[in-house]
Amino acid sequence: MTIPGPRDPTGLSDPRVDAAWRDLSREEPPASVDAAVLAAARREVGAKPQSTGAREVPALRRQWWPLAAAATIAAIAVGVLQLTPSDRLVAPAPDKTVVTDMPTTAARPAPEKATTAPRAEAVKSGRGDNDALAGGATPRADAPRRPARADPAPSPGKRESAAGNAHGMPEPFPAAPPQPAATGTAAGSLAAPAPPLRPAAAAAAQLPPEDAAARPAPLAKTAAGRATDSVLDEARAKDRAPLPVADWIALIRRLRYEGKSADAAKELAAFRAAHVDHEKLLPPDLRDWRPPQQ
Amino acid sequence: MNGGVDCAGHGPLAYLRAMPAPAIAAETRDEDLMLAYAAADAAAFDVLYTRHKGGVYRYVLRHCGHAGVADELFQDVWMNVIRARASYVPSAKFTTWLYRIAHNRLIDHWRATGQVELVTAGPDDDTDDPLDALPAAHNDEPEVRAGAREVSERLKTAFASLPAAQREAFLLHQEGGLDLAEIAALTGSGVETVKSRIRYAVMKLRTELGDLQ
Repeated sequence: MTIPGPRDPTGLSDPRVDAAWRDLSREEPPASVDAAVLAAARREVGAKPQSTGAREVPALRRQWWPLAAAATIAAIAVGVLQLTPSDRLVAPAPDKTVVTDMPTTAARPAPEKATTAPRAEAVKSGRGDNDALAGGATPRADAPRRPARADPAPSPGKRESAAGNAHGMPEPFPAAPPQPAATGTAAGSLAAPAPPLRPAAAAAAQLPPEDAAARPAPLAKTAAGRATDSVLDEARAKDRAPLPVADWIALIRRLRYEGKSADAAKELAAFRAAHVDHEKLLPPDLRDWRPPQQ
Repeated sequence: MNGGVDCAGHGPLAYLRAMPAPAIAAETRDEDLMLAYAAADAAAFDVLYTRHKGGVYRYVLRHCGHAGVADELFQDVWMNVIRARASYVPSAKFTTWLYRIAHNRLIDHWRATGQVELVTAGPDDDTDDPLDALPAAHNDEPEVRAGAREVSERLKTAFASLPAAQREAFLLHQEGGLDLAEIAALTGSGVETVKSRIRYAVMKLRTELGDLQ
């Protein structure tokens, strides 16, 4: 027992009581409790060091970075998609485009310049049939050959070769890369007004006999196109009315690339017979072309 | 009032004594230590815990009278301190904040055990502190008193016989080192009421120790 000191006049403390209390107050928490508390304290701050003044945040807020990373990636992906030109996203591969006679409004890429060039050439050559055909109100059903191809501004080189690249045929000239839609439209642009959306066979069936005979055969690979071809070929066989220059050239090319070399040679000979200035009218690939000897 | 250091020399806390003293001076204020711990300085918490663990433990132990319960409540108090570190604002003494947490934990314990419902406030109570309504412990039974021969035991027994409000004020004054105003603020009582409670408690304890002169 410690020696008691002077009594507190306020009565709030007594030396004997204080001394006895100090002797009594020796209890300490068990070591296991100490270890648990200290471990918890270290664990709380050890796993997540806090800066001065930092406030404890809920667990969801502490784990913000995976969510932020995911959101950032999503935002970048959306941004890239937004910045990507739409034609890259929707345009199919040119070589895989399905060739059809079905005209569509989605791809009518032939500019007016492309249509006026052959017409002016025809007028210049004094061919009235071209004028009559161009002035005819009958729309061409086979004008757009590659509807999915969107190339509204062909290069001048392409336009120059448009007449020789009609109807979606493979480009025979090495200098001009294949531009089937633009060139095909240009070749068919003698019927300049945009055609209504109508199947080629139906359009051909509605034509008068002479008009149908004057029409070039559609070059599509579809059944309707082939039927139209046969109808036109028969009409042309009966009545050898001369075709327009561009259409005739296109027909010769089609026959050539379909492997009908004999027919192509026949048509080429007929073309030369019908046109005195055939050397001037024929494109180089047909001018110098000779059918292979069987 | 500072809690004593574990003098066993071994055990789970041996590493704490073996650790070099952190760059925390002995006179560093409790409030600064708590702020340092909120800033992830675990060593600051170690110092704080070493300073106050004894006082808090005895405060809880004297109130509940059972070591097992006291251990649990004591651990809860410090876990609450750890969890509340981010919201700690040194607007008052750290000990006031610490013992308020302990006080509230005790009240929760009594409510959970249904003790609060068994008591009623006295006519002279000027507070709604649940401690005021707690009855005195019944450790002053004759058989209990007969076994308490040692001074400390008699003092302990005498203390246990005090009303809860007096025990609370006395413990906060002795173990927590709080002054009258701090005790009054913590318990929601008036300063004079707190002074009276402490005075009555001291008087009772002195009377119990009188024959040991």
